[in-house]
Amino acid sequence: MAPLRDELRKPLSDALGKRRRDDTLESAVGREVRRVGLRYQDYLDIMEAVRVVSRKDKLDPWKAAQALLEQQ
Amino acid sequence: MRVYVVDNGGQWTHREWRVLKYLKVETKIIPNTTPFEQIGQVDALVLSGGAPDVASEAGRMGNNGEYIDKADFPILGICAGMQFMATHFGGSTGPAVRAEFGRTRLYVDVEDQLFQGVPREFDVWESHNDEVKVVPEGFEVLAHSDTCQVEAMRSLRRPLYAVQFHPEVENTEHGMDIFRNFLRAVEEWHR
Repeated sequence: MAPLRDELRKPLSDALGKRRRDDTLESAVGREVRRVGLRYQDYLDIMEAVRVVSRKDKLDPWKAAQALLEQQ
Repeated sequence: MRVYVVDNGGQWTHREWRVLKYLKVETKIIPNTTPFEQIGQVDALVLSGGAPDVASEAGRMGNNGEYIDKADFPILGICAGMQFMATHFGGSTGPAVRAEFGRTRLYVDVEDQLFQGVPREFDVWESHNDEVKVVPEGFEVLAHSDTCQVEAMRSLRRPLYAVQFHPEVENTEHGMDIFRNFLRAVEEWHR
């Protein structure tokens, strides 16, 4: 899996930082992606990268997202 | 045709499965924690209703988000399944103006595939405290009731359909027709 593109790191990071009570990661990432005017495909790219880490390392999506940001 | 029912904990998930079986579709109920890759080859999914208040307990909707993201086939969301679909695409849900439980009059605004051949007004069975407040961009409202503005919606870009009411319950008039219409849409999608 290719590393997360630079322009997708910020919405992912913002999603982690602005997490609302009982948000799903998908809702949070979707919100940040829309906020900065990125496309649904960009959201899908972020979520697929997170899901790959989540499956490989058996982490919940939020921890997987954090780990993904720390990897690169 | 193979259509699986994703179990979101609703009281009528089994009815959704039964209706599909009655309509001679290969079907089974799968937990909403099933990884997308383990679902296998399906022609469509039904996201069942559920008890969760998706606005504050969306985590209980398991992998519904991944199903919606990855499916290249039609999906029908029912009740909580619809509310989840709305929030997943940036809409919002919240406490209903008036919670709907029991028989409710539905008014069809758009005779989309889902409502082909059914009357413009008919009674449906409802069971919800919350409702869709903001329809996500790219979705069209298909029906409303006297107290709920979004009783059905569909995506204008993908084969995603959703109803707030419960077509699987016998008390919903034309419920079977709505399921047949969905299956027809599934068939057309795959043609």
